[in-house]
Amino acid sequence: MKETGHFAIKEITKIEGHANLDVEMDSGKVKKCELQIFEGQRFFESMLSGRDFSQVPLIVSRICGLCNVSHLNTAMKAVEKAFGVEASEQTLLLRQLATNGEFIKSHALHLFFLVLPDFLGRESVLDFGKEEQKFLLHGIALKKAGTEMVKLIGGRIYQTVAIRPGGFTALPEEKQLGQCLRLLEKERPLAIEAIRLFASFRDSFPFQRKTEYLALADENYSFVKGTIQSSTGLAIKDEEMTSHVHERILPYSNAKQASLGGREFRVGSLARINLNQKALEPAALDLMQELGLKFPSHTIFDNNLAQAIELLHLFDSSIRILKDFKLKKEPAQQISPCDSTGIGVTEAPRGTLYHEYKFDSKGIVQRANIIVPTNQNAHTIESDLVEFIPSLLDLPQEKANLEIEKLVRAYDPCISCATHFLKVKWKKN
Amino acid sequence: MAAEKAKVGFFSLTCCEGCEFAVLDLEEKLLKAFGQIEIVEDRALMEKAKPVPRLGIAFVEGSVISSHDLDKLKYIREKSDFLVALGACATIAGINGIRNALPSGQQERLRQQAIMPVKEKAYPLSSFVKVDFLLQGCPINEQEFLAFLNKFLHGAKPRLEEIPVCFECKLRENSCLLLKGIPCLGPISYAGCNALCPSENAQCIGCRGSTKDASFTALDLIFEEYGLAKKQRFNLFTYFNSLPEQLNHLKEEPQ
Repeated sequence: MKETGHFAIKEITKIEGHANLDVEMDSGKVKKCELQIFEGQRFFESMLSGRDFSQVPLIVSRICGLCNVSHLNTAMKAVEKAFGVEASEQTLLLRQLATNGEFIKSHALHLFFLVLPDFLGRESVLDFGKEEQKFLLHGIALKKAGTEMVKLIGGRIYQTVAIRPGGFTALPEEKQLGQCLRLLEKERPLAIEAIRLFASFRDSFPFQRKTEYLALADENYSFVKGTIQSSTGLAIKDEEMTSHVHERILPYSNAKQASLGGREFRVGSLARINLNQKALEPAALDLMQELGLKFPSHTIFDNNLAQAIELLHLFDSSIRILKDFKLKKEPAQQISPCDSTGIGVTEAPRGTLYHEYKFDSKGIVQRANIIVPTNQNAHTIESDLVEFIPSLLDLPQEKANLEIEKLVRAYDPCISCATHFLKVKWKKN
Repeated sequence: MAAEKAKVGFFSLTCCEGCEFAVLDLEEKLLKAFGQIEIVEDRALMEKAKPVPRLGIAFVEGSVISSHDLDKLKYIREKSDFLVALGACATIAGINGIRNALPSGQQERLRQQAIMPVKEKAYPLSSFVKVDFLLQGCPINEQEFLAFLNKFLHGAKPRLEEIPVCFECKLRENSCLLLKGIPCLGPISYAGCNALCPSENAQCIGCRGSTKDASFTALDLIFEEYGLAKKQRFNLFTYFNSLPEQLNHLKEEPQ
């Protein structure tokens, strides 16, 4: 590729959504690197204003086709917090299972359908050779173990129906939970194979760059509760997240970029494992030890491996919950709205997700603010590329572009989420 | 006899891409159907967005909210023999359309604050191009997708079943949510989802669009009797659909 001059990658493929990359080189150095997200802005925060609290989770789950349960969970956490509702133990366990199901689906899809072609040197899964077809089937089987769980608990894989603030509109049957358990147990060996597979690619991408990491972490590696922690030792309460994580508008992109007290940082599977690996399920830890998979790691390509490790964790934690599950009939709690603000933070498959709503006394949304993982990673993606691109100077431009896309893809960016927003000018009364 | 495979493209405008992922969820059934079709454009799966050849079918998800969306849609229309709007964002503007229900002053402010220019409203595909078939819902019903594809590939003419959700709900022997006092949009919404939400004991929120002969006023009266405030009724009718003229009285004074 040229040492000086401009190049662009139009519509980065095999990621969720539409993004371009615009790069300007000067004597082998990157002078400008912009990840331009041009997918239309979707104005979710503004669309929410004036909406009833009961509609909020169902509207925000439509921000993303891949992580709708995460948006739903985070919104429910915020709504319940605002109105002083404590979800029952059973509700929390079922939500955990739906969360696990969605993570399994999301990770399997990213690893086997979007990333694996990169490692196998294929253009897409549609070009897999006979030998490689089995990986496709593995991916499908893993994904299905996750989606069946989401479907059972939420009534549907995408845009679930039954999961609501205060409980469920309808509960699954115990017999069906048993079927889920058996499916998870059957496909679990594939999760182990996935770790071995992605561990085998570990040395193919030596690029390293250390940044700060941020994740919601707890002793169960649960994704849904805990304290927001950073690799520099910050421990942040949900309510304090916006005093640490600041978003800014970019002139060239329909997505905002976040910083952590002015510094760039990473969120997602790699951040979670770097910060909280000790809380992983024992089998995942054992396998990491057996294969010599050491974390913390500072190469973003290990985000793929971290997702594979999380797959096994998700299988085991779901199996553990399902084994002891005794379903009881339990109606959803009635919610009485009041003038209040609620904040919810969870881990979505791609990283930390923040929802905040201010309601009036009738439970009508006055304002909303949502911070999604991809916007938190955006700054780091660009900084990575500034360092990474000069190492590709010997490659023809087309090959270099491929390598660049691989790096972006390793972050598993989600553009639909990233463009949910509008530059909100909150009126201060 | 080896018939020529139908060339099929998947395209995405502004949306969550859930409908395309719902198609992927057909898994082995989809692999089977892949035997009969050739996927020529699916950016989520493929490396390089190649120039689009003549297409037998184009599936387009998402709404038109920018001129970029519109240019892309027109190009796809030009290139395809049969264009299917995939999911609520494409068929009725769906969740993107909530913005169309905001007071006009607020809509104008949104446009001014947008980073890149956006259109006045969020539009379904049919606002700009001829749409040959609709696969409704948020998200689409993947079985319906498969049924459509099979019909299409075998030369049968697919047609829309113009029946309300209540019809399918009765067939599933659900007890009526509306009679229980739960504000359900089943009576005025297109079926095809097999009454999924009411079967989960959850009200229909109208994601498949309003039926041609919908009695909006009658349903609104029932909601009013149930003690729902104007604002709540407005919010229910505009979950996925634009406010029907008959219900203009639910609009708030402009802000």
